[in-house]
Amino acid sequence: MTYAVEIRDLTYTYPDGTAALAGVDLRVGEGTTFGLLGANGAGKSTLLLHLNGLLNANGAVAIFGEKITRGNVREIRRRLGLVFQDPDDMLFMPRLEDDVAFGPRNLGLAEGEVSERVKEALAAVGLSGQERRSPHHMSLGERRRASLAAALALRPDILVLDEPTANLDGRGRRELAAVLAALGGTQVIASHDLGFVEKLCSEVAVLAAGRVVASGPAEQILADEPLLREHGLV
Amino acid sequence: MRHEFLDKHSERAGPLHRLDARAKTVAVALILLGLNVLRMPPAWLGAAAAGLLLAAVIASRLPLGYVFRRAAVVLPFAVIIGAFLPFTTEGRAVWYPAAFGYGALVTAEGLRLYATVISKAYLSLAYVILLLATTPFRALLRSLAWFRVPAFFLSLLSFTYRYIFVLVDEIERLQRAWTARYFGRRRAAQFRALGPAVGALFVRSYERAERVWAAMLSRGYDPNAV
Repeated sequence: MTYAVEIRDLTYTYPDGTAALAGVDLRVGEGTTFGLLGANGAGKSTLLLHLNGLLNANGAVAIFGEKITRGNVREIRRRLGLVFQDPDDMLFMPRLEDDVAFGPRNLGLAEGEVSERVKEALAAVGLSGQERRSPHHMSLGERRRASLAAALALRPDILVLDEPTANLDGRGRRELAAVLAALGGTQVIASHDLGFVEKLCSEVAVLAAGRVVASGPAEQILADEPLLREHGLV
Repeated sequence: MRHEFLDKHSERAGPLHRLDARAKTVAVALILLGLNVLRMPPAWLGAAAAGLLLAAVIASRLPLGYVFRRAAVVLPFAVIIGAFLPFTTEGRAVWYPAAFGYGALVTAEGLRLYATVISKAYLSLAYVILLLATTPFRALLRSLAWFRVPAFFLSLLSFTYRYIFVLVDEIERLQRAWTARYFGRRRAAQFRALGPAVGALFVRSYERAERVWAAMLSRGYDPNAV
């Protein structure tokens, strides 16, 4: 069986010698909503940067059974949509529509197809009709959904989100959860927001000090309070 | 969050606002060329340029202070860079300052050239501010694209425009955190803290740039395609 994401013994050391990942093993089945739990500094973001080859995994990561190489990295980046924690890292155009179109234009699609994808992505995150607004005039909740649309415009097969609820208020969090639940498909959500993960994810892994210390069905892991406490999640 | 930092007032409805951005770009480019191509433009040309600028600002109902105070940021640079001109230009000597046994000759022609350089710099920037204040930034970018300015420069401008807001926000956050903790201390002590604050800003901008670049690559950006 091929997994959407398969990681075997992934290690990563920062240039300054800090070990960020110390042998991570992880499998995400197709169609699964997967929660990657970990306290601040556990290595979540570093792990996510390996999933689309932004950091070199030296063959330790396979996406849909394909190891990431120089030759397929662009195709893998199209198939795996990465949503960064800070929307300001993804939104830099004067207008929302241009930000969402950035990915499709990089694919070299015709303008007709590009605007169709922009429309589709904005509708999926509930921002239809906002094409001409400037992203830096939007609220954080809107910007986070806008950055999600920017990733969706590539029509990825896997959606990967880094701390999607960071700094969101109650409404922003609720709206984002509704959008993600409606999207379905394979999703990897890195977070330490237990309520959010519980609402959306069927499977969960706990990352601590660069290792996966537990993984399994969400209800089982999330009920294990001593485990969560030990790794700084409650 | 602050908005319209560079092209504030550009969404108003003055006569210059309604003009096509391409026409305005060409007009300003010609005026800048005309102002700066001559080493010593005749005084009437300078007066005409200043008069035209004033008329345009008033007709566009822009706050006078907005254009003319903003253009003043160029003055320290022009004043310092041109500071040697009064001494190095040949002409009729008007003053001979001397100190510690050394002297230098100041000429009337040199002083005139110095004043001309400063006014040229000031007027040029004021015209650019007028253009920015009557043209939304994205319209300006579109017009530059129409004139076949390479896409690389346009994305550079677009990034600068976008991230200047993020940077200003970061500066404001640092400033607030700083004022919150530095009360009642002397000025000298405050200036000592400025170094680390600027350093922090630099590191934050650098890390931001790395993350933006990673986010661009994630969405299929091909650095070799440009």
